[in-house]
Amino acid sequence: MIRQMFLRLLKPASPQVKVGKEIYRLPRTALIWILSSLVVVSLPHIIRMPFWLTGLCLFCIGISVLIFQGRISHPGSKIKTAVVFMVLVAIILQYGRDIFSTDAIVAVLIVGIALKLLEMKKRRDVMLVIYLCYFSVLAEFIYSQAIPVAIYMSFCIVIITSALMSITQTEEFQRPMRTLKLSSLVLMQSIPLMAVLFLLFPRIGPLWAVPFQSASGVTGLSDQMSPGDIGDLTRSGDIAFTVQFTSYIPDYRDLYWRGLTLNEFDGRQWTRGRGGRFQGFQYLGANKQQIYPWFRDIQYLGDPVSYNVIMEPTQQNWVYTLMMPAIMNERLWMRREFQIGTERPISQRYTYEADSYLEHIVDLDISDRMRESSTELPDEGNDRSREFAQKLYEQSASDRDYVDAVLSYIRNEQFFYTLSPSLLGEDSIDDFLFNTHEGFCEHYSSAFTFLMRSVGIPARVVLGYQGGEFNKYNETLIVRQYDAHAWVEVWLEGEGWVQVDPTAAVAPGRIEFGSQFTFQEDENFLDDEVFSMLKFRSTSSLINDLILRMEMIDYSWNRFVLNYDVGIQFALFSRVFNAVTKEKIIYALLGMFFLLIAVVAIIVLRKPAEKPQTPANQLYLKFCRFLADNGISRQAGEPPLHYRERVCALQPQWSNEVSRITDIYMDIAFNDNQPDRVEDKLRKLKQEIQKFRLIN
Amino acid sequence: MNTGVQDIPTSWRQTLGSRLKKHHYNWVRRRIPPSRHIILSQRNIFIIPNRQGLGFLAVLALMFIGAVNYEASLAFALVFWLIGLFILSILYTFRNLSGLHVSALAGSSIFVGEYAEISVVLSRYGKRIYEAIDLHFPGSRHVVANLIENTEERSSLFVVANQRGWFSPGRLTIYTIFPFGICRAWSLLDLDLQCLVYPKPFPCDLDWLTSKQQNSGHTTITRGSDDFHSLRDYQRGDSLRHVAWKIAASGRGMYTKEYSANVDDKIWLKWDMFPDMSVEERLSRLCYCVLQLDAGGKDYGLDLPDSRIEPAKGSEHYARVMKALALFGIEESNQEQV
Repeated sequence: MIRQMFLRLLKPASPQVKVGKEIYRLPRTALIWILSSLVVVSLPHIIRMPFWLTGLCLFCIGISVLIFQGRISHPGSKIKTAVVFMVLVAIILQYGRDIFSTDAIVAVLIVGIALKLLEMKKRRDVMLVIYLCYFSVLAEFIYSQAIPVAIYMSFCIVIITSALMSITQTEEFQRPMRTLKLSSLVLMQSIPLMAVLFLLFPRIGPLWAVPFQSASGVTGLSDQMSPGDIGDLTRSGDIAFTVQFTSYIPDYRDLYWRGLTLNEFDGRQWTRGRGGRFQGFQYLGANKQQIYPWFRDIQYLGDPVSYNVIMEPTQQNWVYTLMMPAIMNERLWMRREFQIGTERPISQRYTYEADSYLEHIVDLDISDRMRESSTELPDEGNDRSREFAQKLYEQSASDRDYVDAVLSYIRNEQFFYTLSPSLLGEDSIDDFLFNTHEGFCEHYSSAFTFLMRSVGIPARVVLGYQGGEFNKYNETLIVRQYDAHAWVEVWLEGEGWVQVDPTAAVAPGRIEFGSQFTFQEDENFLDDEVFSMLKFRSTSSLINDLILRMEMIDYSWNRFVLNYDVGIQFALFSRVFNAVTKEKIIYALLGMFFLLIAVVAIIVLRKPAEKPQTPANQLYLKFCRFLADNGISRQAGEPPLHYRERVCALQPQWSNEVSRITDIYMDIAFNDNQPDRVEDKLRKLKQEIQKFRLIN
Repeated sequence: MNTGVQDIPTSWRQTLGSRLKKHHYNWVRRRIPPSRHIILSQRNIFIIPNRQGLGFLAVLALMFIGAVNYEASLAFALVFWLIGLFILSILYTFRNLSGLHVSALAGSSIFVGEYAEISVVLSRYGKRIYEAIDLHFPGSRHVVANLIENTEERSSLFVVANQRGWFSPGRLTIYTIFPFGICRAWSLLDLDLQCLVYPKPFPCDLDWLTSKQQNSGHTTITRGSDDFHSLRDYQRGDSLRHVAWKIAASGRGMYTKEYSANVDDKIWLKWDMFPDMSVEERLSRLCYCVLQLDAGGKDYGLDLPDSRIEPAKGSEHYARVMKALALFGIEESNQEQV
């Protein structure tokens, strides 16, 4: 029905006049295939593209149909140049400085395909359109490689390949279902080849850096903290990162995924400040470690926890580790305050491995400059808190005592741990400590740090995630946005930097069992996940199981497909071979590749059925094969009589038998025989041939 | 002595080119010997990626660079999938010819300048279907054959014959780019086709020529009615009333009685009738005369420098005379030359 409609739509208005050379005429069904490929392949891109580009694509599709119908002719070269120029200028204006970003390049690609539709004069042009469609599939993978995207893109490839096939077919013999079936079959048969290449093809690093701009902004924690910032993250159930422990699994209350430290306070907001920035990156690779005394003086105690992490893109340039991380991959850098950074913002899923020594001693001595920056506070404001701190400090025997005193104050006073605290006034710390008494982890960590600093104890806020959820199906830990957390590090004489979590004092359940446990009754929790099953997981264990299973699949996909790299390649091969070298991998690649091609070739090129042979022919051909084995082969299509003469001339001693056999055969094959006589003659022919073979 | 510097490479290239062409021709000839019926197989199918296929590979190379730069695993997978597709397309394109049975039949004899009709029959056995197979002879238009629901496809190809004599349309080019248009599989088949090309008839004044012939008295024509003249071998087309039935009944073979009245109309078409003309011009005119005389149902004989055909009539006689005209001065063994 739809096909009929399409075909009627595309009926040519008038027969094309042939002038000189034959004009290439695209089969009508092929045009439908090509337009469908363009539509399905650009669908995911359209969301990111400016509105007018989508309009332009639709316009081009319309024009190409009109050109095909012969209602309008192909645009001339002047119009073409003008259009291309205008579109390029428009794109440059649209993207401005980001003209070399991936978004802009993809936009140019899609528009290029659309404009090329207007110029499908030869088969070459049509093929180019199809090749560009394949290219836009690749472009989509730059943005997302999730399982649903992969499935949808496979569907696109089937459509594009069908389009490729349809332009070689004769118009009146085209059946869309047959085209679709054959192209799917071929694509399916090439999957084994793809698998071998994917597993064994040597991987190389990027040739040059590509700027990346995506409509999706920064996700997860940012590098500043005001009251309410982290509370907002609890609205989201998105995965922040997934951890697989390769050693022992630490206690749940020790799972503090440290991200970055905030050093500067302006009375309301914490930022990284100068301390976080100017101390620069320190390479964490093999040899440079000794150069920095602070790095050399780290004392690692006990057994490390080993784990690998797959992190979702954040567009930020830091990763999360348990304190104190050691031995990590070479693309990671450590900053002065033991933050782990990446060179570029993480725009794609990112994997790293780390060993963490949960017992450690760091910075037994700190420089004056660091002490200064870690005790800095605004000159004015929050006077009540300062007074309170001073009083409490004077009552304490040591810094350690003071820390405990503040924690017990929080524990014993009527403090509430809530996602929807009251708004804070001008002096936010005063307001929180002595007035509202309700807050989320950022309130507690902020106030605690303030109380430390106001008596001269170096302290800083740490941002990260705490806890996570164990997936029993693949024993991974899933850390979600709602696990975001803020805590404090204080510097104590003789102990170095020590981690303190004031939130644990007010809400121990948060630390022991996680955010999910604490807030599942709160109406603001997971507020963004309107349709997500996460909301209903507490009410149904079935849904919870389903979620965990899906996340398990996702994790395996991320770990074994998307993050497949040289390391995994070598690990895989070290199980097969003893010592793995690049050469061995290449030999294995070539060997398996050609073996597979041979197997596929046998399947594809199975011998087509021969012309059915009559019994007489079969016998005669057997006889000919026997003669051929003895050196006289019958040429293709050689008449039997001619062949007999040749044989007799070359082997006179056989002439009697050969003549007799040929005569009987000719008699059966070419004379009309009564059916009962044929049987006799066949038997006779068989006997003669057998006799002949026995003699020789 | 001073040969132009530029001449040397040209002539050198020309000789090399023609030599290569000849070498290729001989190679193809050895590889695919002439035959009326050919089954396509790896022996006679050639396959190579075509220009679009090279374009495809270039696009794949670009995509590979993209995959490397963005370090996207699925982009690698896509490139490898398409490499698999390319390799399979070689197999599938080959499959689209292999196992196909090709035979051909040259049409009836034609005159110089006319199109010889050659019907090519493609047939398949078993389940494998063949799609979009392009057939053409040198100089003919292309015909696309499909064997999808039918097991046999008959296509007519027309090749113009520019020379009299035995006409061979050359090798049939059978090629396909199905299914993906990125590989081209083809074969060059000599289907052992021949058809006879007669000289192009050129009008002349037949009556004047024959009357001149009678006046000159070269033939002995005795006028009389129904007088028995002689016996000759029976030929198809002779009237049964003139058969010498008595002789036939005695088992000595079939003879036709000739009467002097028949002798009357015997006309000799002679080489010398067209003095001062070239060979082809003479043959063209003789051909015209034969057509006229045959249509008029008259007896005619042909007298050429190298052969002589006694006067007679009927379709076999006509064919014999025309063949003599077509092959005049052409050695039979030359026919295979391209």
